[in-house]
Amino acid sequence: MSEKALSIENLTVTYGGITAVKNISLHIMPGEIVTLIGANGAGKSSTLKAIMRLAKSTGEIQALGQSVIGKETHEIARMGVALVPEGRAIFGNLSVRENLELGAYVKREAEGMKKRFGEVVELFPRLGERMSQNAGTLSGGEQQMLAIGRAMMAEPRILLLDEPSLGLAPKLVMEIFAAVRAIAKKGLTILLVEQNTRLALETAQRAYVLVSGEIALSGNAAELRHDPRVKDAYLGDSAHA
Amino acid sequence: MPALAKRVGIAVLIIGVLAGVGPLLESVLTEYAMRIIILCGISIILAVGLNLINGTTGQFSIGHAGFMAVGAYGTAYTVIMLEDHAGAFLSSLPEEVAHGGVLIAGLSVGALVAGVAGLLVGAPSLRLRGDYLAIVTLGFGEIIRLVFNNASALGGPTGYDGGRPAGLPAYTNFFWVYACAAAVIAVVASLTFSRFGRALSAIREDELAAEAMGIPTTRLKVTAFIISAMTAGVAGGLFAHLQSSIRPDDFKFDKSIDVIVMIIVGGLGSISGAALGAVVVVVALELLRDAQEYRLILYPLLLILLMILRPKGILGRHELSISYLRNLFSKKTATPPTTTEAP
Repeated sequence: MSEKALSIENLTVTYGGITAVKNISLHIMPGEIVTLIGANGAGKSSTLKAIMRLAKSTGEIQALGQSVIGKETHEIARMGVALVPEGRAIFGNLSVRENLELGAYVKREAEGMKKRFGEVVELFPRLGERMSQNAGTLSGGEQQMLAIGRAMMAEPRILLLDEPSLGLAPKLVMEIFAAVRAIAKKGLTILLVEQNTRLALETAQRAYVLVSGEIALSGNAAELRHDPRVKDAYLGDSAHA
Repeated sequence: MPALAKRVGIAVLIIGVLAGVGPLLESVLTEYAMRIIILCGISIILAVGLNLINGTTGQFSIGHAGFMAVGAYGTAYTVIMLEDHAGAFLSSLPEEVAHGGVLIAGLSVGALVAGVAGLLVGAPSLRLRGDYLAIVTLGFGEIIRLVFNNASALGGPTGYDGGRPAGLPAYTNFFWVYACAAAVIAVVASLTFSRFGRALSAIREDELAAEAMGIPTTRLKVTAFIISAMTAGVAGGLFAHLQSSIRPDDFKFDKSIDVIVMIIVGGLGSISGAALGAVVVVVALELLRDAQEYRLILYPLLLILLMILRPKGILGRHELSISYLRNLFSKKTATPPTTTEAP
């Protein structure tokens, strides 16, 4: 059995007195796309935050063979884990180019910069047309492209995506997910947190279903798509024909 | 290295021009006008330094006067100590060299102690996100003033004059103030337009995203804060040797607010804006002196008017440059092209 890219053992995340994630364990193999689905407040984003040490938690988290516990967020980024935050969190008053350059902050050497820019523009040609524009003036879809492109500038080995479809028109959602699949083809390990269950299950190889902070179901994404419990709760197939 | 040679050349040129312009201005202008010009220079140092932390990094510090005070006392004390203990050596040197050397040594110590104060204040409060820095720096400004008020070795509330009947030596002149201002602008500008400066802007825009991008946000914020405190220390030291004595009340809370007003007036996040704002505020406050008690009505009115007309300050986030001015004037004839550019 090959080394896991990411493994979480008995993770519990609490904010004040509220427990957002209760004792969950999950893992991702290298090159896999795994999705974490569930309703609002099920603990999906908290799990991502815990991986980046942006939320306090107990339990063990290992990324690329190293424990992240006790590390600072910027050190985890340096290990090759990139987060595309919920709500995009782009640097609005800086240009698209500056946003992308900052994405490559962990890459000190300048030689690879041009190549990395090329790869991001290939992924999102629209960003290429908007290089000197202020990021805050981009449309929602373009901002999401920028957020993903910025994360890719660090040439990460693990990409954590937090609700990339949030608030986007269907056509743009398809574009974003096409890009996610293209990124996966490069061999990146992807953990996708998504409320759009159907799309998430179509994109991922495996899935974990979170309900109130606990893993209710897990397994092959294609099989879960046809699981009656998932259909009832998240896909709404039986309620609306 | 041609880049280094160019920089040294520019530095020599600036020093030469300042050395020539200083005596020229002194011979033409009144002592009063000269003092205003020098105060403008000191304010430029304060504003450009504060802008690094408030404008570029987006961390709101309201205790700049406190660091100025630390620098002022540190500089004055060092100058007096040097002259008291190394007087024989100093008198063997030409007067200009001795005075300048002592002042530079004093300013270095002033900047250093202000930087240490910046580390002590910044390190704990910048670990946190949000408004904590504002609260802590507000407290620091008041505490440091009370400390000097009660430090009898430094004159307490009546002020520090080095124990001399003539007061502190008046070494601060046009040349030293503007040489320091040029040095501070050069340092702050080269930091702002570097990888470090861009990371600072990222912290201002979204601290969590910056951290997730691999930027060690706490370390960078503390570094920027210390540099900002050191520039305030230099300004304080220059201010000290402009006066015959320094009193704790010279560094009250409103002094901090004045500097904040300068950077907001000039355009938060712009170095040339900060410098311009400093000059505008100092000159405006002087011109309004004639209005006496109405000054406190007219000054806020002017600020309100400015915020209505130029909500982002005179320059906004732009830097004053030839291309910016050209854009400004061509705007009247044609709308600037939308910036779409191939990579």
